[in-house]
Amino acid sequence: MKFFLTSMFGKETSRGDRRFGLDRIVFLLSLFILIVTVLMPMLMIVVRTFFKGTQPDWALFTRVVLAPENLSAIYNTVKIGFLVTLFGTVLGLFYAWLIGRSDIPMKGLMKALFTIPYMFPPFFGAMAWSLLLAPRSGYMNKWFMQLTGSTAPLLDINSIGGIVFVETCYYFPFVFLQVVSALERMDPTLEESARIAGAGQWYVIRKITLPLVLPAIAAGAMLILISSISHFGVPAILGFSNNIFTLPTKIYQLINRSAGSFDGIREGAALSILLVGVVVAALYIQRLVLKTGHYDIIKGKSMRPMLIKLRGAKIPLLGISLLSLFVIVVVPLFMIFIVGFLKAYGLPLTLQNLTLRNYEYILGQSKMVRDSIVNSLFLSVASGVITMFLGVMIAYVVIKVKPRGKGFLEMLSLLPYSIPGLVLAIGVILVWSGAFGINLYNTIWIILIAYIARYVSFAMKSASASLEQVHYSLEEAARSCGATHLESLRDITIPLIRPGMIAGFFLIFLPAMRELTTSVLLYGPFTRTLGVAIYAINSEGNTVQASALATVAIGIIIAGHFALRYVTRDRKGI
Amino acid sequence: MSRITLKNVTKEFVTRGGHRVTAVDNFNLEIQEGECFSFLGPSGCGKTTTLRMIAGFEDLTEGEIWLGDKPVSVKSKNLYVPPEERGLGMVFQAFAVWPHLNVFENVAFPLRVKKTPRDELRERVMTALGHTDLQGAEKAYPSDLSGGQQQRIALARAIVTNPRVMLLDEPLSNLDPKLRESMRFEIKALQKKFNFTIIFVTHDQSEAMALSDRMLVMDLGKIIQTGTPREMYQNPANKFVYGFLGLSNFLRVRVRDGRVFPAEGTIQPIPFELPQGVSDGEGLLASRPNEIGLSRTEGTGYPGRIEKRLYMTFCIEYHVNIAGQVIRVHTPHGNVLPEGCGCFVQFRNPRWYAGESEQVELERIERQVI
Amino acid sequence: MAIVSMRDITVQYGKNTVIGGLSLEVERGENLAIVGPSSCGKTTLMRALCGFIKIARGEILLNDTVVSSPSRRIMVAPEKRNIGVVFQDYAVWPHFTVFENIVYPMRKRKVPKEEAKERALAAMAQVKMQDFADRLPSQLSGGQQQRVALARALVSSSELIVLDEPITNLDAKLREEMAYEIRNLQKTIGVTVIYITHDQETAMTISDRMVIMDKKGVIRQLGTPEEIWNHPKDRDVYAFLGVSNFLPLLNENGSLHLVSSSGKRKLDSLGADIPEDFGSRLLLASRPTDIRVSPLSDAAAGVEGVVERVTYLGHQFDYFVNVGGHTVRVQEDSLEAFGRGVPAEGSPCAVEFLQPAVYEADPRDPRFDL
Repeated sequence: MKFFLTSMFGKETSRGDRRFGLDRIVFLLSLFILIVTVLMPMLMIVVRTFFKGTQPDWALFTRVVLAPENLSAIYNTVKIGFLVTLFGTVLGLFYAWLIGRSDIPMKGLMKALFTIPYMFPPFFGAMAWSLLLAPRSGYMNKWFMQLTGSTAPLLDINSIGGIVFVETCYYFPFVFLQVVSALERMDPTLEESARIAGAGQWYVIRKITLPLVLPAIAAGAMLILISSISHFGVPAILGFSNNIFTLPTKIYQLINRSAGSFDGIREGAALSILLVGVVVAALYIQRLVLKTGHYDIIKGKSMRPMLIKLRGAKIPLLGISLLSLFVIVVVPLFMIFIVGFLKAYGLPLTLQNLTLRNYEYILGQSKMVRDSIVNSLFLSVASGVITMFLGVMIAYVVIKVKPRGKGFLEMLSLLPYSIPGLVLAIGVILVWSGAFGINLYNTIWIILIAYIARYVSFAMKSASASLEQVHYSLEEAARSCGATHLESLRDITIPLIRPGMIAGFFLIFLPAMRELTTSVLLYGPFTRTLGVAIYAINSEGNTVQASALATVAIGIIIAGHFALRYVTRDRKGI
Repeated sequence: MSRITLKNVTKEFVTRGGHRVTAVDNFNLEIQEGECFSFLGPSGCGKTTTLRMIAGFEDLTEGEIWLGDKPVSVKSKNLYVPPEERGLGMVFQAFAVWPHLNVFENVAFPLRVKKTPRDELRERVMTALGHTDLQGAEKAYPSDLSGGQQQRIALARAIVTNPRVMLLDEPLSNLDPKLRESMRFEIKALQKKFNFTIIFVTHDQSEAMALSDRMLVMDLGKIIQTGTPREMYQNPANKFVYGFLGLSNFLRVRVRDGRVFPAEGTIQPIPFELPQGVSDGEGLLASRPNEIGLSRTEGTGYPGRIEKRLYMTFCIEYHVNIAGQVIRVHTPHGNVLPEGCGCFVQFRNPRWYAGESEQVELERIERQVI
Repeated sequence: MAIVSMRDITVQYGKNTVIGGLSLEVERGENLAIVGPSSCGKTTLMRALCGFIKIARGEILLNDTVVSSPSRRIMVAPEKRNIGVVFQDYAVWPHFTVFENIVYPMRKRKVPKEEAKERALAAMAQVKMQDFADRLPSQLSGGQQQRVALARALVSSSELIVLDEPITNLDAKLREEMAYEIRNLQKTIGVTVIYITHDQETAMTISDRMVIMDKKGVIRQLGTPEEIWNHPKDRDVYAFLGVSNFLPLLNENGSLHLVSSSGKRKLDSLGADIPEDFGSRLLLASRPTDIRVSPLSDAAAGVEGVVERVTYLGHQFDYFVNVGGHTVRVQEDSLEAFGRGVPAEGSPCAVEFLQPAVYEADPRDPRFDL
């Protein structure tokens, strides 16, 4: 053991620091936590799938994968993923260009509004559109059928098309934000030199700008693809009634049906491996696309890029943008809000049908709901705080201490980023349900562990960004002024990364508050989360109460975002 | 005809804070065909803005720009020819070489836009690469190459279409000093070979002097002086130009009865023939450190004391105190005078200037930040 | 007594030996410049001295106390070495005001509040930053941040401060000012200053003694600027200081021949003595300012050559002269040049070396293979 440790730290880093004791502890602690929360669940999934007890068992895997209903789920997952990525990318690219490179007015407003879908869980959108376009009860369909007298609905949201539509609305900002940022950071002289060389506006876009933002597009598209493939909420709400399954919802069904039996979980595990396989394949494709890594486009002097003059097209495009904003953002939020005040779902939207009864029930009378709000608050705050500290520790080790083996540590911390939440949940179940002597199943702690694993990548990335800004000369300057290593951390490093840490906390708190995919497999009778509560109430058919609770959740999320903005406002000098 | 004419060109814009700034003020200039012409001035003086107006990246608030016989920007007629139709070559400060294309494709780009046939394209690209010493690097990507090589890619790309006019926007400031010098010579050699007109924007006075046939100095958006490097150096129009073109001393002096005295000492007048029309009052006596003689012999010049002696690579620098003001003198290595001793100073080539208000310097500093 | 004593120290990064067997003593109160090309190891030396990295062999003593010694297993932590440091990027803490930055070392050394405040204010006044006490670094320019770093270092140690390339990032004018200020400050306070830079020009002007290090981390010469400039120990030191010309000579049977592209050319006299133990391959070293170029005539003294390039830089002319296939750089004051007549490009000329030095050549020197 001593040999192992000295070989890790005996080598002089290029800075040759000698703070062995503290650094060693931090490194080992980080390694231990990551192994327990991330690595072991993954290993257990593989082990349990392919081994029954201690004997290899391939039969289960092949049986599960080849079952026709599962094959159909795989097919749906890929098909939906592909379509959502396609439409989301096109939509995101179109708006990124409009805002980043044209002279369309109201850019600030539109940019802010286009990031709203980013804030809400897609399954809220599924709920909202269901309110409008459920085949028989949806308001828009009913209005259409009344108007035209037909018996067929205008659109049936409970279809693959419906799932694709809702997911596209909520995932396109991934591409939008990446591309807008790339366009803003790009050195304008790259395009100007093409103009001088004789190329007109459109030629420049095709041959210069587009290829240079390709990495941003690819990154955004990959994010959309992985999110869609791993997503549970939308296919759950829109697909179950018509027996449309994707891998995540199929896994959920398998485990639910089996009511916690070991075989059921093993089948779920087998399907999880498949799901991870699809994600890995997608990541591999991305690497192929981005193979030629020659993309340094960050600019130096601040110059404004040449904007495309829209001229005649300006008003129509403005109209289209505002209309889509209306459809994507305003309509769903409005529906959820209004329906929360309805006496019963299906009643016409008139004032006399409005009531506060639903809110009274969920906030006043339902212990389950109150508990779920408390649970989610606890889980979000706890996981936010714990993962941020974990993230700082890991980032510190990787960036400042740089021992041998930091690559492994870094990889472990970034792994959960690409693992679907459901898969993580299954892994956590397999580890913490008594397999190693500790049984946390059905407690809130198992959800907390899953959350920590899920969000450690965010924390690590956020902490890295902050820490990298603290150049080592700032710490050394403190040392030369008489500060010990610990004092320099306390006086210099920590205050400088604190704002980033707080922002990072919110970056975890907010998704955790509204999260569904992971907790839907882990909740017990008393440990529902807010997302699970909304989903469950909606699945039972209490649409109006579900909407009311969703509105409460939206309120909390919006408050959280304002807090984040407040915390990350441009403060003095940092 | 590759003559370039700017008539009454003015550019105003509004800053983020809401102030109106006149970046370029009534700029009039005619550059002859085949000239290498520099725009020299401090950061914020408007030289780059003027160049960008010639290129077509900025429109004009007032005035006209003609390339040869063709008007390309005329404010009064709302005429504006886009950059891609002006037939210019341009090299940018940060090279602006496309990272996703290899060297060959970078240089071939202007020809591909024109749909040049394949064989001709290949020949012209290889020729351009030959002229800029990049043969063999066709398949490399810019990120694999050094700054100097990237600069050459930008040059090759600019000359491949045989433009009659080349615009260079501080092209050498991102290179290290040794490279800067050799690239200067390469650019000059290219100009001799192809005989195009060059407009060169820089803040480095030695660069402008070394390269130009003619040059101008800009300050606060206006042209202060135009001429050959020699004319400008030997006859600077005002204190700013004098100071900008080389190391200088400005001795504050007072004129009384046609004689010049240091501002705070009245003992001895400085032997200097004032230009016509200078009346009593305050002003500046400008001198170059290497145009001042120092000796210890009584009576050979104006008395002073050596406060400091510093060894520099090409000379010895003395800080000499004359009647309370300190001037710098450069003498060749060898004749060493000790610190603290009295000495006598001969101004070999002094010039008279009126002083400059503080306001002006403040404004210059403000413009640097905009 | 030496304030710093480095004895035969070796520093390694992984398997690379960055510094091998270096010894150096720094005298109390002196301003010592450590000069060398980038990545020669001078920054590594400083970091070893300050305690940020370990040395592999040797010993470092401060005030006769051992602070680094692998053999004795001694490694005194940086905070206990009492050395003030100004880093290359200033390392001024962005979340502290100017005052808080400067008072920090005293906080750490538990100086009573009132005294600390007074001393901080005094330090600020010394670097002329007293009006900026409540500002944050983001509101300061590069030069101002550097002054804060300097004040902080002075407060941190009254005995020894180390500056790591502190003025490289500033523009020329600021660089000069800061160099003078640092020197003045040092003389007033009496603190020992170690100044690390690749800018040999600045080092020459402000240091009492200079250490010249080469690429491999070896000390080539140590002495006052005057000594080093007038008597560079070997051709590498000569070449390192400013611009130099080297011509290959063959010393055969007591007569000297220039190795030229047209064969060997006998040289009449050299104006420099050749030590007896020198071999046959020699280099004639000369400075651009110590060479006179005159029109070629029978009466003209010097070696025959052709003026290839004439560049006017305002205060001086640069000539590139081809002497027997080798390029010699010459500089002449423009006033003198106009007086004597500026040579034309392409004209034959006579080149006189006024103060040459002679060194032994490297046996593999390609200049001999013409």
